Amino acid sequence: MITVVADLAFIELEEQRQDAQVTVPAHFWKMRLPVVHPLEGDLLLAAEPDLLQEITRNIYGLDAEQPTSDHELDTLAELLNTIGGSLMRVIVPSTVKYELGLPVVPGNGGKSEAPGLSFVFCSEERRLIFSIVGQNLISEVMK
Amino acid sequence: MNLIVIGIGELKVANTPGSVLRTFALGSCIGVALVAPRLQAAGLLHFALPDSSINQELALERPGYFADTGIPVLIKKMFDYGCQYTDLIVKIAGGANIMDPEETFRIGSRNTLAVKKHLWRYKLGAVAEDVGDHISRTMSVVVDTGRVIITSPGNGRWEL
Amino acid sequence: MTRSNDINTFLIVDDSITARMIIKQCIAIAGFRDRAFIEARNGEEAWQILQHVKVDMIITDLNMPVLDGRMLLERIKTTPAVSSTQVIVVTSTANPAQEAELIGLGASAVMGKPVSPAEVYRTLADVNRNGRERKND
Repeated sequence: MITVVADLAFIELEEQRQDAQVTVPAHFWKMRLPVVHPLEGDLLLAAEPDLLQEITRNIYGLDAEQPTSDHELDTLAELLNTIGGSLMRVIVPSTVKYELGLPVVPGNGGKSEAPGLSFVFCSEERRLIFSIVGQNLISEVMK
Repeated sequence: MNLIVIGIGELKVANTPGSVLRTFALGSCIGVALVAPRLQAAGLLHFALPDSSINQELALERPGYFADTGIPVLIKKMFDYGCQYTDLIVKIAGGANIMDPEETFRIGSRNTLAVKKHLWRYKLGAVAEDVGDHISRTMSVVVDTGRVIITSPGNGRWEL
Repeated sequence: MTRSNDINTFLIVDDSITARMIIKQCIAIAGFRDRAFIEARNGEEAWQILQHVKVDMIITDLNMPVLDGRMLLERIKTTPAVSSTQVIVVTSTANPAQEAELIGLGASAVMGKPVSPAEVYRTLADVNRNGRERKND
């Protein structure tokens, strides 16, 4: 996760904590990515708006210009897709293909408890919350 | 050989045949080489810190000291020598975490992120890089050919 | 890298505008800044473009709606009019098993996301070199 954000957006994240109960504020941007094969589950990424804006600005090479919300949403989706792929590459044997779904905006718009196991990362006190849902998936990650 | 030495916080561009740009002791600092083989021109920047906001006076006096001020100046100088974007090839070296074995300050890593961020902003990127680790590097750029050679005490010599 | 004069038009296929922008910029940095770039949001759009435009190299994602990258690759490699077009896959699901299958289907190379300018530079150089060797055989 830290490596992907550094490689894509040139931002250094610090892992703050790992928890089964993390509240995701309503105003965070959210994205969900299904994991299809050989394990099943979901990956979720929730970003504090200021941090997502900086990530998008860096990826698009913008200076003072504000990125559009379409670009921010697409950046969040592509970030989750890339993080998901990197995670699966670590936990799935190299001789086995793995499959991810297409990123979607999750339905619950309000403040919510992040399901499953969550990892909270920070850059200058702005948070990025990565959550893993699905018992088999969580078990492989925790190995 | 006409050896042109670049010190910390400096940047130079050359197109004189037989010239070599060289910078020493790249620890956490980063050497940024912009080469334009078609024009037999090359530039080299040796920056120390990622962000000039910590000392804007120094950035005005010596823009090459910081990634965010040094990179645009280096690019502009290459354009002043007649280069266009299509001519430019970028290679970087340095960014080691030296004298920081616990990696508390990670200046080398922060410099590496900064150089990539600012190059990307100018639609550029390194096609070859030798960054990180805990070694000191010397970077040489052969102006005629654009070849970039790295040497490191006790570690040998290699081409980037 | 010796710039290939054979690659004038790239087709970049990905449902993410961010991914397309990153790939395009990496290819430009790798020495192809002055070439033509066409973009498609999925395999079906890419296929329609190929019916009308001569493309020299296709860079495609795998996971896309409407028509995914694997099906696009299979269609290209089984259609004589376009089967010689080089196809590079850039995907978040790259691993040795995936790469072996895609190379078997005719992909020239497979890269894992996130890509870097240095990696794209090396991959395009390898693909160019292999392409020239095959022509000389």
